[in-house]
Amino acid sequence: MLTHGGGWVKGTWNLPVHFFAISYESIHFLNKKKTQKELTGLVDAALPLDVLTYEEKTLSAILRICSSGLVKLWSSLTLLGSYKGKKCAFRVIQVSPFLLALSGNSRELVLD
Amino acid sequence: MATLRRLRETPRHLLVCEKSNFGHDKSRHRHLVETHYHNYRVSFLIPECGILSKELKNLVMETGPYYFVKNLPLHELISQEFINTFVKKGKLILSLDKDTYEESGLQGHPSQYSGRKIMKFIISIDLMDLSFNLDSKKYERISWSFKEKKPLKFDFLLGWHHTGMEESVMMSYFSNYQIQEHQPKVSLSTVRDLQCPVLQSGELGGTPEMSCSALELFDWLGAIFSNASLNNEPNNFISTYCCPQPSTVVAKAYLCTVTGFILPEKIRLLLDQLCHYFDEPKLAPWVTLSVQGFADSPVSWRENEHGFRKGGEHLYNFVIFNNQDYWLQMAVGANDDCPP
Repeated sequence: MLTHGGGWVKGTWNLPVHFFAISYESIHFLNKKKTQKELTGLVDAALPLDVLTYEEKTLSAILRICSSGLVKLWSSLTLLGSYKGKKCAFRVIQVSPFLLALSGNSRELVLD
Repeated sequence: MATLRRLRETPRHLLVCEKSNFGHDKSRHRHLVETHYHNYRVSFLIPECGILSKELKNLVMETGPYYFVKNLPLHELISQEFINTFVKKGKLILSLDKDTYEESGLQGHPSQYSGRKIMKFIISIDLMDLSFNLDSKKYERISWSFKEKKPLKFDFLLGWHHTGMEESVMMSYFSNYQIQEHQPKVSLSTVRDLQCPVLQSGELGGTPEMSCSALELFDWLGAIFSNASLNNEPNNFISTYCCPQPSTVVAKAYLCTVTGFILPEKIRLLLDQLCHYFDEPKLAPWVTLSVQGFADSPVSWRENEHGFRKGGEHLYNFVIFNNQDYWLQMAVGANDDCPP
């Protein structure tokens, strides 16, 4: 609901997409392009998915999915144990409808 | 059908966008910055900027230090000496699970975000009230709880905004607890040929073909700080995300991120300095300042309860325009009150 008055406009928007930050272990043998395509292919069959970033060094990626597909994607990633005969595991690090929230993770603050 | 419907549900989040001007008497920008206490990451973006000014650089390098103390017993925080030395006014807020709460023997209230079964309790102790009434039954009970009934110890991150006193007071006060001093991590970079959304300060919702909305800007900012590509074609197999339109390409932009335990007072200084960025004519039409809170903080703004739920987000972002107008976006997650 948007209301106008003086210098103030306050609004809340329906947030239609969710962003995932994930890391995968044991997939070091796949190169960058192939990994993005294969990952997309896993879920793309049912839901449109964007792989926004992929970092080979840390084997981590940021995915974008529409909110109604969040539960399906999250459970698919959690339950995926192997791909094309090779063992793999996906670990979901952060989930948010705000991409800006994924650019920092306070749980990763290292102090020792 | 109900199961299918539930599979499509997501926890509710809130994004509040407002616009005002820094010169307005009733502008809330200072209050909102100063009452957001537990800040983990502060970033700013300046389009058309290749080198940071000396004033900004100094502010960025002086956002610390902060301190880390391990296994600090809670009763240390209610001692008269601690309150007199470090606390001008404030509350100790504990967010406890059901068992710990019941074992503590103290009076609190259930979390606002409890379901049918209450699993979390909040205890709020006014430290100034306590320090003026050391003989009271209340102080005796709290002291007994923290020292004997349920002695709680936690690892603490401490930040201290002090005027006049020396930094070393904090280090020597907690010297028995192996206190460590840390400096926030600073990362600076310049990006070339960056696609930036076109914005009009008076149009928070954007205007078709003329300017982008606050929501589009908020997502774009996230893409920049996450290093996402902005140039994807709509039929790209991997990603269809692209910069919101209309957009312009800037030759260069300066990005800075500071992470650690950052005091709101330091963020206020940064915000003031960024407002002064436009004192001299600049190519940039706007700059942004974004701040993210600790995911596990028990409060977001003031004493508003904050819970992690699935993401623990509580963040805010300023878009500062060259005419001193600003946009302020505040985002929170499912277990959060609406931002103030």
